[in-house]
Amino acid sequence: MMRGLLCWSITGVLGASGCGGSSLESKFQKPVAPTELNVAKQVATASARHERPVAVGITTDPARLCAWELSGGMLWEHPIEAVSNPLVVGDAVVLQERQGIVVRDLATGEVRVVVDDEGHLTGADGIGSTLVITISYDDGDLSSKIIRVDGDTISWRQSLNQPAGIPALVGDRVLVPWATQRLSVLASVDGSELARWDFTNLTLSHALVDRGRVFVGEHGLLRVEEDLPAHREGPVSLYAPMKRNLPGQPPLLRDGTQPVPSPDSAGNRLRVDWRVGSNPSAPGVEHDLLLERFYRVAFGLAASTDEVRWIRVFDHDLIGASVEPGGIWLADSEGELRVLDASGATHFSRPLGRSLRTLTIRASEWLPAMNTAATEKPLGSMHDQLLLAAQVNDDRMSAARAYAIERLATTADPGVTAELIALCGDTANPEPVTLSACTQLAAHGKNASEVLSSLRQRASFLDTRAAPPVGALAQVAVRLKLRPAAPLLVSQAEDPHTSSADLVSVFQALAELEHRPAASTLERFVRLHHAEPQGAELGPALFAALDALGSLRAQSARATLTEIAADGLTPQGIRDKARDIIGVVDSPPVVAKPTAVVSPPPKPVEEPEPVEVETDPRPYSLTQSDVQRTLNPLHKTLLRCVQSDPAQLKSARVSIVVSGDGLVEGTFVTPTSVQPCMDPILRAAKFPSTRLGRQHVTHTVQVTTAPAENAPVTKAAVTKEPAAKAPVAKAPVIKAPAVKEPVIKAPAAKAPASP
Amino acid sequence: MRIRKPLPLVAAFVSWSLAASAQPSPPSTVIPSSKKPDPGSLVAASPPAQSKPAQSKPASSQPASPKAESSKPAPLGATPAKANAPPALTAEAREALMTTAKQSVDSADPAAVEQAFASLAALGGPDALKLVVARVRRGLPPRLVEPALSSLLAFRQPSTVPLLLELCTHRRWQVRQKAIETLGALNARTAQSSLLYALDDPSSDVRTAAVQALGLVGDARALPALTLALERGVDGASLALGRLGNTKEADLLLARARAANLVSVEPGLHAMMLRTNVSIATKLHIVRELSLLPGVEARECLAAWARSPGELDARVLSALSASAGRPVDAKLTVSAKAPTAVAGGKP
Repeated sequence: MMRGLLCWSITGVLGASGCGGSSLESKFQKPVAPTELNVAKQVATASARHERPVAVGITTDPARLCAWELSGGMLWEHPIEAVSNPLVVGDAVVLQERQGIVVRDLATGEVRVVVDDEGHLTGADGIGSTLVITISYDDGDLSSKIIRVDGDTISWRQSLNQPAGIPALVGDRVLVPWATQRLSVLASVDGSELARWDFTNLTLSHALVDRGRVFVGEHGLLRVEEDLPAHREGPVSLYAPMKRNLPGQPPLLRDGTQPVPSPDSAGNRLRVDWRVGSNPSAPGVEHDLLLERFYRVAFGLAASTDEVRWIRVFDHDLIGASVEPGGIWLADSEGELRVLDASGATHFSRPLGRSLRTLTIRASEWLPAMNTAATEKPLGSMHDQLLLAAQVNDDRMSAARAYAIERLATTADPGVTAELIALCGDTANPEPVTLSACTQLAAHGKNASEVLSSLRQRASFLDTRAAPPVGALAQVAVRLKLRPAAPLLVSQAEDPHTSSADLVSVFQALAELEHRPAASTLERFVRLHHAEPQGAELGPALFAALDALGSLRAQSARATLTEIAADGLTPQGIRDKARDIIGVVDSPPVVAKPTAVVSPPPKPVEEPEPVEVETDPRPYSLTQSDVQRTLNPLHKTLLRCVQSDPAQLKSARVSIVVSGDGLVEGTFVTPTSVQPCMDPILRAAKFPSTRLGRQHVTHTVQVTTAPAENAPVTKAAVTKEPAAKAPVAKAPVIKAPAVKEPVIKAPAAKAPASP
Repeated sequence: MRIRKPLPLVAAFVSWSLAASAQPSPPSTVIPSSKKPDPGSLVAASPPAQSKPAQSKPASSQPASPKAESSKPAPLGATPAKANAPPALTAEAREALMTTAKQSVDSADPAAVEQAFASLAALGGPDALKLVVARVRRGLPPRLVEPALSSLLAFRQPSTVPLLLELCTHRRWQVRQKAIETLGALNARTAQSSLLYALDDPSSDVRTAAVQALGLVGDARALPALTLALERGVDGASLALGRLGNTKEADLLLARARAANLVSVEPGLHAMMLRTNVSIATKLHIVRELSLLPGVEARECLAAWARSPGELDARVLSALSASAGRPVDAKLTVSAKAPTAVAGGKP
């Protein structure tokens, strides 16, 4: 606020010099002319830009800012103390340096002007030497500025008391997304505000011009058209790849209100690259490709479906990319610049001759003459590519490896079970990798002979042989009803190498497989360990063993159970359990229902539940049903918030950050007008604890007009879940009024049919 | 449970038995500080004054000199030294003690159970042993396992071996370690298979205990596994090989000594030197090979062996002294005649 006042005062002094400042009013008065409709028309199309194809990067020690002509050699290099990645806009390079936000000449690298020395660079756009730059400030008011620079001169400044996003220069208009939901159009000549639109159904922090088309958004891009003002409420169709769970959960677009990342930010090496397609008749994502860079691995994902097309593992981190109609530019930290086709094959490569921390590529659709034959290709089949990614030995790669393992498990290759066993049993792997492999093994392992062979393997210190992943194998054995595994499981249960956590699965499996000879082992286990103190590591295994004795109706263990029930040195919980099990052992076994014989219903082919390795009783991650179950009790109150909104909302979408122990850490409600009402309600929710840790989940509260029941229609989505399960984003990109993200559905469409 | 008030003589006996049981009794359980105790850990039951037997220390830390004496075969299986004899008990007093112990051993109070174990061990006899075995077999909280095993050891009865073998499958490594140590101390030769199995145990303490126990109760069948254990660096493997092996194992240990690893194999070689069923030729071979090693370590080692008490053949002693560069110590007892070597035989 102080800054705003300061700007006003400066305006009085400097107004005449053309370096004045003004502030966007909190209440916008529509100008008489031009009309809102005219302004929308003016910003709906932009003239094509003819920009120099270049790459600008920052080298590793010593830090230098370097520029290369993509069609030629190095343009220049200068020593630099860079704070942010370079932005290449118009004929300039804009970046934050130690001295402030600096505009450098693209042709020479020389400093044209330092536009600010206090704020943080958040975004920029430009045509030729005309640039618009947005800057944010750490003054507690979230204030920001928009600056127009012509050559080496600052033409005007506009202040905002809200965070501004990345601007776009469209002819003589400047589009500025701000306050996450507002879009203002400023006159490029003086910065005066010509139009302002508040969107209740969209998050805005980006405005961009791509091949003559103008887009705004953040979680997807909305095409700016003449009827833009009409889209401030209600359904909107966004251009975006299908939302899904990706390793590292990178955003589709970075938060445009935040400072441009630093050259060493992990965000430069862990991000997605995509672009709206150029074909106006078939709108979608260019090449239908979502490229995820995860340090050394590139995942080529289908944009419209939850499908992995190809995976490449490189020797060095990938620090820059640009999706072009003719191919994908990709640069690594050793300065190798490649052009890949949509299938991931390299057709052109060129060394830049410098080790790089970051590289900004502006190819402007230019492509070199490429080899017709690929010089590098993704390795073999999809199974081979997934296995390669799953085995990358790099501590930073855990999430990508876990993702590759998830995908690997669903392939039809017969060797997958053995590969999952190896990945699950390799104790040198980081925990997320092991957990993913064991979970997938339990859920998808299907090769019985591999399971039996692994269970036969015994850990040996002298022979330096590791223990097999007994817990996961026990779960597979149950799923496959693999009775020959039972004696092997008994043997593993007696092996001290088998972890206490795995014993739970083993005992459960012995009960499920109805392996009566296991009774003596189970009896000995409970007899020797029943007096373990409360909270001991063996607790869950003890309960599982007692349950198994009950399931097997182990009369031979009755005396032991009686002694345990009477033992004063045994924790009360175990004694009570033993007493219960005595009752079970004494009861006659349950006879199969005769109805099953009379009319044998075809056993439904159940989707196996997400079987997990019971190394921890908590589920790995929140599922859709977990979210539904947790939020169901809150539906009525949440619905009241939606209904009581003056804007007569039809729905509200909630994004919740849930901590590993199930507590709500934060919420974000769209539209934000209902945030104050919903936030306290949502914060009271308690989700199940998970092993995954922090997660983002989404939930939609919809008002239905069905006469029979005024119950809300709710939809939940969990970022961890495959996107196919998520109610949103079934069809990702196609610009159709149907299911898009975010989509606020027409109420009638979701209303339950009346009986 | 109400416990009958003991008679004065009984009370004196109980205090004596408790005092006796409080004395350190080898082998003892020492949990390395690096291992985090979990709820109910045996640590709680281990008196702080107890220390690890010398032979369970890492061999690499043992000196190959006079100081290497500490790595001599430890008095495994030795009964706790008692300061004085137990008070004489009348039949009536013994009966009273048995009744009290019988009640206490089933008590819900861990202290009472521990006291009962001490009393029963002091009382001795098949009826007392039966009570202890039955109680241990029913399962105990971790902190009572060590007193229970100490009590079992005091009976020195082979009938306790099956129970100890069962405890070798316990999930707590401390219990397995203690059970294995007790088997060794009881000289339970039938336990060899279980001890060989324990060489693969995930706990290094259990493996060490198994190696030491095999050194006491094993035979030639254990030699291949012990050789492998030596290669894998299991503490005490060299000593066990020295106790069970013969010429072949001597060569193996000498090869390691030549590979600049004398410190780790010195206990094994020394054990061979002290055995009466190892041939003079083998012993002389050991002395000769060691004397050829460069450096002072080997010479110090030979000198230490020459000084150490124990029965040594005159020729061996002479060779030792000559190799160590010092005269024969007249104080040493020298056996006149060397027995025939038996492979895998016991000292």
